[in-house]
Amino acid sequence: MNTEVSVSKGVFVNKNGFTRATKLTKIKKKEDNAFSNHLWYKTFSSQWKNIEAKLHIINSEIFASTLEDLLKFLQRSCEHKLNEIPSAALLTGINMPDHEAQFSTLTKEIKENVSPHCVTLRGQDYHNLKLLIENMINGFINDEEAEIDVFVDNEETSNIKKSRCNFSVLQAWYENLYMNDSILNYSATGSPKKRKTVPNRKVLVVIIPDLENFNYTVIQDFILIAHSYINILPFVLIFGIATSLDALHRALPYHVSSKTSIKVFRSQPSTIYLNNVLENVLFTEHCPFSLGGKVFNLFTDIFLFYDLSVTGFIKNFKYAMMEHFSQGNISALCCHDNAEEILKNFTEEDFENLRRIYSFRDLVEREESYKKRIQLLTDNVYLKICLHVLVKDLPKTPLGKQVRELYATVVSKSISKSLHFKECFQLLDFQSKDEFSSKLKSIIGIIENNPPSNKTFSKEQISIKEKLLGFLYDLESIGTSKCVIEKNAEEIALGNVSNRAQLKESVIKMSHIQSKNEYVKLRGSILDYLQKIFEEYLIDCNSLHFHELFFFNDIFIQNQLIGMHRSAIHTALNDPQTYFQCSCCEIQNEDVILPTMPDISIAYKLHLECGKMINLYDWLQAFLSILDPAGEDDDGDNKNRRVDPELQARFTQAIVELEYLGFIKTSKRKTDHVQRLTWGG
Amino acid sequence: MAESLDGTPRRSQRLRKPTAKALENKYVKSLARSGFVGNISSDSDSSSNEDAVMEEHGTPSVLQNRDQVQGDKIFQFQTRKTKKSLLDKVKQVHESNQKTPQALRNKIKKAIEHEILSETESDQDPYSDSGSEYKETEDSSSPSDKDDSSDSERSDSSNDSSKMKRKSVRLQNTVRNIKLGKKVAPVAKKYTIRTDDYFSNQSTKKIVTSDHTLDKLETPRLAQHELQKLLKNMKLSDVHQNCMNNLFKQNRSMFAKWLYVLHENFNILLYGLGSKKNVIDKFQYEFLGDSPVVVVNGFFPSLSIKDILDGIIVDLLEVKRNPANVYECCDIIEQEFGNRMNTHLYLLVHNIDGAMLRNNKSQSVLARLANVENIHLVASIDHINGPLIWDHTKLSKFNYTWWDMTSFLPYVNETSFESSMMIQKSGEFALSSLRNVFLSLTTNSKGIYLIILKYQLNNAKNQHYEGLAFKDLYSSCREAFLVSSDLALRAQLSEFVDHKMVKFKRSIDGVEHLVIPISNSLLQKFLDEQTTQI
Repeated sequence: MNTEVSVSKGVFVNKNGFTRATKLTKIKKKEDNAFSNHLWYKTFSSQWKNIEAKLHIINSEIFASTLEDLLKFLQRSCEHKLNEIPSAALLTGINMPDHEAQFSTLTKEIKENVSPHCVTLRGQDYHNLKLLIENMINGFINDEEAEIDVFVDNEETSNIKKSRCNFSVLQAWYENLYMNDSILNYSATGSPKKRKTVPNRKVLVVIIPDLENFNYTVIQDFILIAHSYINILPFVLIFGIATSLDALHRALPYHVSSKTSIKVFRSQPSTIYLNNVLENVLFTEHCPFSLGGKVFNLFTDIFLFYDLSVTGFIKNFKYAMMEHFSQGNISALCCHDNAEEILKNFTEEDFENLRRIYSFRDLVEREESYKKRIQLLTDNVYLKICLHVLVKDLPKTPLGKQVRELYATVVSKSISKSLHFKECFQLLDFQSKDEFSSKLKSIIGIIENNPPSNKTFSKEQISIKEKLLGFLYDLESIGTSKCVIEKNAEEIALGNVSNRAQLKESVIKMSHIQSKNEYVKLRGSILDYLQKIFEEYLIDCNSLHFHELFFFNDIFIQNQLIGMHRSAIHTALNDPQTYFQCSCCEIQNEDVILPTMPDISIAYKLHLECGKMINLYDWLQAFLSILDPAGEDDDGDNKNRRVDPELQARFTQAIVELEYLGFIKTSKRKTDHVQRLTWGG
Repeated sequence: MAESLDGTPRRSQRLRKPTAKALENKYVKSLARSGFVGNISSDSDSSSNEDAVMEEHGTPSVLQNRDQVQGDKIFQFQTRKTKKSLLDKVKQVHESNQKTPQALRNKIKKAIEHEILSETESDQDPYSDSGSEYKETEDSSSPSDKDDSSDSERSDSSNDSSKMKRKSVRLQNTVRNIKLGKKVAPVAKKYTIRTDDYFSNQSTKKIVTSDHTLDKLETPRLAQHELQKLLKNMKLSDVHQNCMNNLFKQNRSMFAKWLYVLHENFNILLYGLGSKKNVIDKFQYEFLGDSPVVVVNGFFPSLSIKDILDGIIVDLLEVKRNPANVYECCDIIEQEFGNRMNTHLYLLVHNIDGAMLRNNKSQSVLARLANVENIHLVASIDHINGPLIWDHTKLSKFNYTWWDMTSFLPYVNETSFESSMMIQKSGEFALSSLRNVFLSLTTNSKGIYLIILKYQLNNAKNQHYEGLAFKDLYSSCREAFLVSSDLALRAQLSEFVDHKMVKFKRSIDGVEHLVIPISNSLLQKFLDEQTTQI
């Protein structure tokens, strides 16, 4: 093992047998890695690929409406000549990491539908105008050569050196492409002929995904220059704006913005995006792996309070999945079509592990109940959605407005027993007929749209559907006129009561249900029925056997995903015993210092007692008297105090390390003082 | 109040109790959060409001699930940070050590037991407190809670033998269950920065510290080599050495998992106290023996991001084209690795938050590299504010998984380049090299150099010192008959510039100035030497 430290070098390359292939063979396919033989890894990768493909589809769907508008705008802009540069400002929202996907789809769409000339310029790469223009023109010229001139295959000849790219080169290139009277229109074989058939000029699209990151003067100059070429080179700009339109106003003063005509587009907020992803991919029965309540809440919290990034959410989800599957072969059972096959491949040890699962308990017949489990888990997904439809617009929304909030409650406890659930049904009992019937309709719609995956359940589902349809029919056939008659009838009934008890009873009844008409009765029975169904199927997941196979609920994943950097250092310094697990450093509370602790911990704890500035001498003395109480006695008035060099060295190292960690820094305000950079403690 | 009157500082023993109101508030909140009760009405604020807020996700439910009332320190007596605070602390330590050990141990044991109890039950029992005064009554009142706590996963710091046994059984189970080695993580106490402390810290304007200086010691400062020699001889106690070995072993058990995580396009960031160089080196040694590896020492004082890119482009890929622009380099690397998906490059960065990598440019280049599908990054971070160097976009490109790799190993290599107040600044290198070059000069050029030097020393107090103007130097050199022409002077100066003894600086008005880029105190020492020799 070579420890690579050098006083002259900071980077070390170990080639370990890597050689650059002389012949450039493009290997696009990824080789299998070390884990691909394991059963659990196979299941994991197949499922992840499945999810990834679905996500991809959702991704393109979600931007569809904005994309369509943008493309229309681009197509319109290239139709007639303008005095200003047509530009689009796309308000994307602050979830920066998600934009990557959005802009790549946009580029793809533009290249397919509007113009092959499309260049993306990222702010952080361009600090001056020259670089920007070189890169942009290089992007236009050298990228498209391959696409349009299929004949020119040789890269070297057609490439114009990047440093020579300027606007006149671009102009010549463009005229060569679209105008036949250009000086550069040399008689190449065949290609000019072909271009004559393409009379309409294609616009040059420049995408700037992060306007805020751009150097303002660079972008201003760029727009001014581009504007001066507007009659020859039809530019279209697309700005991505993460914050608000205000950024655009700040970036472009009047003399610049007057050169552009800006149209604003808004993309959907990322919460809608997330809901879409959750409902269409992660919550569906195609994805047997599910998050437990705690972990799910953690992920939504990270989303809502940290980054609003859906990609981040998906990455977290993937990590949870990886963690889940890496538990071993038993987690390979987390799938629903070929469970039996996997069970056949199991070794003795795997079965042993399976038996160890906490929820196994008193279960004897494994496979039968296992199948049942799958049904219950995968099929209650849409019931959740049904319930969501019922409760989403109730006042106070006791069960949450979004499906994801409902999901979190359902997976963490038995929802049908919870108070919120009862409250919801009470509230539902007050709804008017119109609202109620529309809800019923949408529930039926959902059931129809979710064909069950296995047969045993489909019968039940059909029966539920039929029952609901019957209810709906009844509901619509009720005339409101009846209620008046009913009411009268009850009033008459009130007259002939014989004793007080009976009277009291009927009055209570009346006050409770003022008009017990047919609608109310029907509504009551429908609700009873629904409640029964929900109670039957939305049972507490944790009470089911083998729920560990499908639900991932290890909250320690938090440490891996959001990193407790500072708190780890803090804990290690304040209470080393947490990590050491030794008997000598046990402390009652965090203020206690024991001489057995590591030096840096003692120094740290002493420094917590100080204010903004710390005297090094005093600090050293305090340090010494903790480690070496006996040596304290000879503290006379003699001028030069002797210190054990080993202790001094230890103290010095502790100080250096604290400085390195960023707790203190040297100060020049007073001799031999350091400044504290943290507070509290 | 009695405590403060009897004079002994017992701050540490006093338990931190939130006020009744705070407790009630906390209780209501935790009940609402756990979902056991739908409506809880508090006498002052309406429950409906609170419920609405909870349902709208006004507060993160998991992220800030701290079972501790924030700002509880405000209700305590604040101790002032005074001159004596260090002294008090030391006194306190000695006092606590003199107590009867049996009682102390009992107390500690109880406290730890209680802490486990309160930690595991915190979801249900908001009244559990980390203090110890009311422990007796609480324990007796809730025996069921105690039973439950033994089931919890977290009971790992107890002396109770039965518990230990049960734990070891469970540990075996987990080890057997989990193929890739799952770390039995120490209970991470959540650490939240208390903002109130900032104001109490900043409110005292005057710095109250003693006037002692290190010069009171016999050996005020240790030299670097001496320090290293002393530290090398130092031995830790056997117990701690064992503990550290255990930690290292525990950390090593994660390696297979790292490989798995890396190959799923996540990168690895190591944090925690102690040098993590050993762990990364070991990982490289054990798992990356036959794949290309680039090791970067982020703590190296003259590292630049271009060095890393050059390392990959020139040394590893052997590409002929090596542009000066770092982003173009990134393009090349991305392209090269996109063409060969079979090769996996492992980029091991010790201290990705090192001084030279802290700038935005370096980090965005590293982020781009880490984002490449077959470049895998393993990095470590030490500075407490280290994570602040990454913004949103970079973080998503880095795609880190964070691993607590607390090792308690000394930062020997990492700090060897740092300069500290406690270490003697010798400046021997600069001085000796200056001496050597000076000896080889002709007398005339020695004279020229001394003129610049003396001028710089005379202007040492001037904060806006720009340097000696070339014209002034020329005239004074002519006066001393050192040079005869402008050109000859320039020829002499070019030798100084080559040896970096002098720097040309052009001021705003276009005048050339000459500066010696060596600290004035060293120059003074050098001048003293020279004058005594002559």
